[in-house]
Amino acid sequence: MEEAFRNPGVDWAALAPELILLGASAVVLIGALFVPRRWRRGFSALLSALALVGAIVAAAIVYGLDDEGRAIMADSIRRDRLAEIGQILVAGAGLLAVGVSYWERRAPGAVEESENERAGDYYALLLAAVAGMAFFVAANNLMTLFLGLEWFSIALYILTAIGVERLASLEAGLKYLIVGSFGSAILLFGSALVYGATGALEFGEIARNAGDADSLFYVAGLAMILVGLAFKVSAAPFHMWTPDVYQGAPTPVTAFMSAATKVAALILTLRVLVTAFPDVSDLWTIALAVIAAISLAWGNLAALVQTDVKRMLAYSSVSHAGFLLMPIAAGNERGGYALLYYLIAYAAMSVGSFAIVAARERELARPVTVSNLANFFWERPFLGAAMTVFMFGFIGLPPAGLFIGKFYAFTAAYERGWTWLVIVGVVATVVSIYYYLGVVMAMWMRAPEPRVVPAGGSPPRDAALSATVVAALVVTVGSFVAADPLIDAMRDAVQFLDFPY
Amino acid sequence: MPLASLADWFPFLAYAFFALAIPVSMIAMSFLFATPARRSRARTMPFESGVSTGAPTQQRFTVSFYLTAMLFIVFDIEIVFLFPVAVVLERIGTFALAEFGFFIAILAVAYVYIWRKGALEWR
Repeated sequence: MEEAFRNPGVDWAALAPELILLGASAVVLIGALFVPRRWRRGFSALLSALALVGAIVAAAIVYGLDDEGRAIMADSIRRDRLAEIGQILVAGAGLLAVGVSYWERRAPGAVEESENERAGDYYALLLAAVAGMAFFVAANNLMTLFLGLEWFSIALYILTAIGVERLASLEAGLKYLIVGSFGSAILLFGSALVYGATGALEFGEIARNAGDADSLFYVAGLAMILVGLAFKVSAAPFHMWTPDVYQGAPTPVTAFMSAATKVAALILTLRVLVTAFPDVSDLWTIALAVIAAISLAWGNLAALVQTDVKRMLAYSSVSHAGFLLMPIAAGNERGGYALLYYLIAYAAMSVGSFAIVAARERELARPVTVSNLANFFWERPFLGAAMTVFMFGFIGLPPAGLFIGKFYAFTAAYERGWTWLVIVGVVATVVSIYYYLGVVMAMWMRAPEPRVVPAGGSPPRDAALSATVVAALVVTVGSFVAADPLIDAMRDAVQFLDFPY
Repeated sequence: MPLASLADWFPFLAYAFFALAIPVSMIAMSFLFATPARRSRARTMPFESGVSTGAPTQQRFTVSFYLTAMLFIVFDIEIVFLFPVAVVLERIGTFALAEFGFFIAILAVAYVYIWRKGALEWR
């Protein structure tokens, strides 16, 4: 018996951000091969920036249209404000990353030639990664979840290794590929177990069928999905790839990865746990609370002893994974909007701080350590001041939005009754003051290391990078100033989720 | 949802036992029976069911072979996707045709890319 093919009906509006980005990715990939070599970088960067702005606008328009969420396209994708906020954040991080990536070199050289050669690939992959994340945050069944995850992960593996003339970049790419694939495989195995137990792929249906599911497979599947997502979030003890990859990858890629991957993976973690596994919320909330506590402890303690700034920021990102998992673990509505609000400020600060590391790296032409940041504020006051704001912000001090974000995250955990987790968070914050202030101290108070001044004297002019830092600062401080309307918007975005607590 | 009893895990336990026991016993026995004095040339060679393992495999040959083989597989697998579409084309109609065209377009993007990158030239 043949069943007639049913066209699921494509919701073009909901897919617009992904389609814009994918289309632009193809145009950049091909176009860069046909434009003259010296315009290649400018062409690719400009087109990528336009596409990302287009994707943000498209997502914002759809956001305006959607008063309430609904599943579309055979229930495989969710069209709701949570997804659209995720898409705006991810595309915004991509836009900032384009700004960090694009810079003018004064002296033409061999490296520049090879970089022009690869500019099209680089920006095409960046756009593809953003498109994959935009798809991922809207996933509504285990199949689209895995598809989105692999889509952006594969783009990121290649981006990490794209600085092929540096051994560290290749090494980081290989490590990320192997560990990342391992994480994806675990997630896929978990999805298979959940499908086997419930006979459903769609999140809502999984929750409905959970009643008569084989509990063994169901719980094992949930655990493996959690582990797979924790790899992407870089939460301890699944963070072992993070320092090496963040350090080895080209700094603009690190900037993008640290912000956008976290946004995408955490929003999806929230969505899948709340919509597909409400039955066992007592299990996953405690599991996430423990993972959050381990991340906070491990990330902060390891960051204390780092000398390389990128590596230190990588461990700081592990510890922030802990802060970000705390509101999800709370499993209440306050946790939901605390997570989204925290992500806005965190993403901006993360891209901003790596942008400044990139600026210093270009100036010195070697890896940035805490000691060679000495005197940075007095050499480049604007970037130094911005870095100071970011470092204070990471601690959770105003005028950065993280001040309020952390407050809400702690409150959410407290309302759940987890005072111990709040105490771990506060102690972690206190410990983190040491290494964040170490950077600030070096920039403001330490005498400069004697070093050979790079030829040409003044540091390279990076208009795009400075603009990126300004934008990151605006979002960081703006999220603090405009906290009320933002939190209302985030609350509105998570109101359709049925939080278990 | 009924919670699993411990007995449900027994097959896993048995499986884990054998999964552990077989390699451990193999390693242990190789220490037990293959004392250094008894290692002859034939015994240290990998056992391939009596067939000699052939010429050393660490010869160098040009990477172009890999490249060509990979490109062949990529395009070959993509072409394989076209056959099922051909079978159901009439039933699905214009939607299938549009998807088909889109698929070919993506393939063309990949083709133009590798061609302009010089991957089709033998080096």
